[in-house]
Amino acid sequence: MEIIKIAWRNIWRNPTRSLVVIIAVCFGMVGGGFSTAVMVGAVNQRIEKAINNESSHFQIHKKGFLDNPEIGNYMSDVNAFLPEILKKPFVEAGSSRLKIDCSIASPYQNTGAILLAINPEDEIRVTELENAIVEGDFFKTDGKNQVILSSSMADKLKLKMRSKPVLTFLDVNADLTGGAFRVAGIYHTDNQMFDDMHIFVKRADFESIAGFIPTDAHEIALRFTDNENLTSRSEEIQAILPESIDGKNWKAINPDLGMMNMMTEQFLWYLVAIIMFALAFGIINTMLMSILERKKELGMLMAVGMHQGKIRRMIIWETIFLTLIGSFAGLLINQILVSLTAKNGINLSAYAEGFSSFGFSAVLYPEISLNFYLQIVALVIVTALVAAIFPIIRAGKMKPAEIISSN
Amino acid sequence: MKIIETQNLHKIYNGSEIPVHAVNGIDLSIEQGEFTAIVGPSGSGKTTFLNLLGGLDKPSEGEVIIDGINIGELSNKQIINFRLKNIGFVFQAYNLIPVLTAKENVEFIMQMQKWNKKEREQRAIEMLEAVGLGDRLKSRPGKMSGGQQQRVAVARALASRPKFILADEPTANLDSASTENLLSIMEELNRKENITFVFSTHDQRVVNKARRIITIEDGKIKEDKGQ
Repeated sequence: MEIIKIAWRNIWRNPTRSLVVIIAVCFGMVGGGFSTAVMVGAVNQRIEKAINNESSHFQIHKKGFLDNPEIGNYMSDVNAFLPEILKKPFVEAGSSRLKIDCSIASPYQNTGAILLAINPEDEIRVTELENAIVEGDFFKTDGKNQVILSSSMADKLKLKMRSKPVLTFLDVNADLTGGAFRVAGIYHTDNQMFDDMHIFVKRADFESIAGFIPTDAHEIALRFTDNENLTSRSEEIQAILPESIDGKNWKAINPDLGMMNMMTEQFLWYLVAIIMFALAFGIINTMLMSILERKKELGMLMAVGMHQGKIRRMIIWETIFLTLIGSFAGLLINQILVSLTAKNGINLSAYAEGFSSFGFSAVLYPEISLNFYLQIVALVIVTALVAAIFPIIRAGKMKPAEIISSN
Repeated sequence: MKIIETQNLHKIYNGSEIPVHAVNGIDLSIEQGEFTAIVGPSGSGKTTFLNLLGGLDKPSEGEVIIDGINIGELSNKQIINFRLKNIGFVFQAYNLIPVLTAKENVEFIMQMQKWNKKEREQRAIEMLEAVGLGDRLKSRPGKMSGGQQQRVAVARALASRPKFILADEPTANLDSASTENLLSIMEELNRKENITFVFSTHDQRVVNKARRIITIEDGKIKEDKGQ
């Protein structure tokens, strides 16, 4: 206990020098921590948006559909398994979709798109596309052959609300068919690629033109109560599905997102480790100066009977105190910054186009987990221990006899 | 009763081109309760001799026997423990721990010896009162004069009841009044607690108080008065 007390008091012998190190560690923590919070926030937002607007938590397809999304590659009797799946406590909602490639033409332009024929009542419980509507509504008004498309596609095709583009697609027999659809809504998400490709129509309209029946589906999207236990839940659903049907969670459907998540975590660890590595040199310098200043005192301690082990412990405690004070201060400032910015977000609208092309929002909401803080504290302690090695070696070379001789 | 004994003690330093024979065959014994000054000109070998007596350095040849134990046969770890339990040190530059108060400094060695808190606090207060610093228990070394700091150092050295005290030029940095005061205190403690004191010194005032004076020159005992 005495060693800890002396170590604590020792770091305040030269408050200016100790404060310089503490402030350096503090800024390092704020820099590393806030960068982490921003990046984690951005990636989590991207994943959340992908789940909410695009893939949902889980998707069911006929085997091979994802590799070969042909019109005839559909599930023909979803009632054989879907009701059982929807009974699972972790399944919040499901939306059965018909999904085909189509061509959309305006009087000025035409383009290819992915057409999703949905039941609006089911879809709004699975995705949050309704919230992305910027004009019109999400199939709330009655009317036949309504289409919802993105603002970017509307601009490209020079379409407005109530315009009537012509959709051309294959029917259930793979014969070319189509019809004129009225623009009932325009949406905008943060994912430019998604917006450029997807249009939505009501299932009933599409079924009547393409010859499908309500129990047919190319895709069933499921929303879970939360994002936990993905693997075990996936296995549970897969066990219900017939052999010809395959289910995948969002990580399997979007391997790029899973990879991004993992890479971000690794990158952030490298970033924090590099910051700590740089700080370690400052800590080593300070500790060495402190040891050399106390040469006589350390010699005296050895002379009167203090073992090297205790001297080593004292130096380690001093190093840990220096780094921990700086780290706690840094993490506290970081937490305050995160709390302040997490509410209203960091608005980077000036770069919105760039962010959007990668599927990211231009308003970033930093977030950081308790787990990250705990890991940082562990890393700080490791850094302190490593930084203490040189001062310990230096102190270990001192001979107590020198203390008397140097008098 | 013999507390310190050296037999044919040599210390040779081979650091430079010519080996230096700092201690050259010293045979000596010091009895319990002696108040001994080791004197000699600079470079005579008295500090080296003191280092050998305190187990801070190893002899090139010969033996140092403290209270019947040949300390040359002890391992590094054992010698550290031996110093902790048996020898008190007083240094020329006091070498108190600046971040601890006077009382905490005196308690420090007792704490390393694992005395219980109450006993060591009581002993620290008793020793500081004995050296006339009962009113400076909470003062840190930086707030005390050189004489006061050396008195704390003496209290620290004596508090854990070592078998003997080695004091290397303890008065070198003190003025006359502080020296006189410190020597009186040490003399009194020597008489009261029968603790053996061995000084290395240049200071005639210390020599005058010593009951035995050993003069060293060229690493050998030239004169041993008052044995």
